[in-house]
Amino acid sequence: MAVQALTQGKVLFGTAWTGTAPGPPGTQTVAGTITSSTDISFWGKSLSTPEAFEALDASGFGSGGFRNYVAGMAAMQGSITFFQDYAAGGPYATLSAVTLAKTLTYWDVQPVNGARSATNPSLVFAAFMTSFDFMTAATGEVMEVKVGLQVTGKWAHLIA
Amino acid sequence: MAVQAFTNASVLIGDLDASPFTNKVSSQVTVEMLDGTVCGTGGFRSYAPGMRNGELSAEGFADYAVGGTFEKISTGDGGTSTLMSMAPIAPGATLTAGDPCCFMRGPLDQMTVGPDGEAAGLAKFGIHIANDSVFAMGVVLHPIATRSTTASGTAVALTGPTLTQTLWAGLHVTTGSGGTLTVRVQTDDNAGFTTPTTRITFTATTGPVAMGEMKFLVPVNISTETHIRADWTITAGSFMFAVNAGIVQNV
Repeated sequence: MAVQALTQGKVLFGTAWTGTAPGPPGTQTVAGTITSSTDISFWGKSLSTPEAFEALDASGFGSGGFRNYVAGMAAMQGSITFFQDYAAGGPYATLSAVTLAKTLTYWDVQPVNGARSATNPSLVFAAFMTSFDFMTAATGEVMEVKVGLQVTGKWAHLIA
Repeated sequence: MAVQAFTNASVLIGDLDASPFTNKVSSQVTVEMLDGTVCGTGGFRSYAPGMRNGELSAEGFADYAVGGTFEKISTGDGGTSTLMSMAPIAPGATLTAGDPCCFMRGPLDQMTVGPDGEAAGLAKFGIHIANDSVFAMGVVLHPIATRSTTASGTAVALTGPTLTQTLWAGLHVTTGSGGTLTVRVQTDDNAGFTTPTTRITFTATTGPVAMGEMKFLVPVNISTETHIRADWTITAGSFMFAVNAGIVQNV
């Protein structure tokens, strides 16, 4: 058992999937990898991938005076913040046109950049990019780009 | 590859070169998400992308002198559709043709141009526009500079557009007098521009263009074109101007 610092996180990105892809319809068993992925981990600064399960209020006369919730749909809105780089292979060249084109994208994030395992699982998901910063900063700061991600359909944790 | 600090940038708002007054910028494109969840999705929500939005803003310090923020952007400009462009400049570098940029036209919906600030502090200025055109991410064709003769700009590698894309270009003219300036955007299938074709022609002007001008090429498949450049005619006098171009997917 060990608390883990995110010092070597992995962020892979692509627009195609080899295997059974995450995303719609949501009933599939996800497996495989991103096809021709681009590793943009180098520029990664932080990521947020809150897996949310809607709790629907089902309180009624029979709930004994307590609020009672039932599980609804699962949905995730994530974001990844990168240090901005306009050179080839960097966040601008890799992600800007895809955002504007409204392309469905695939993401694979991992605690440590390496092989998948039970102790180094991948979170894989299909998402549309909801925001992209071309140049957002104050003078003297390192330029960052925050990429908003609306996950669509099923996401999964893969250990192999 | 180089992560870089924001120490310099080109920030143009209509006929104002706001770079010397700016200390904070924001340029963001967003895509609306429409919930398309239906039965049988395994309990997961699914989404489809909707409309795109762009926002550009700049903040900094006010200058009430001629050519400063107050003279160039007045209260009467509020709500007026204005071209705004931004381009990062790496520390120690200068902006050159081919550098990345973004540009967009839209109404000035938030302005801080009058006296604003604290006693003994620096007076502030601020600008925000929402888009009434596309949010284009492209290349600088002509960094802001003064020209007094007819010439062509540096060839920049840019392929297309295809039929599903649109070529957009933006022109800022910040100063000018003594003649007429006509700026064009040309493409060719070679860097030497041996057979240039004019794709966009901006309105001829005899002075600064207060709100800038943004134009597009009616969608046409020119995917064999691999280079783009600015080209200009000056009958007399001198003009300070900047030109940007970008290809945007039509979706």
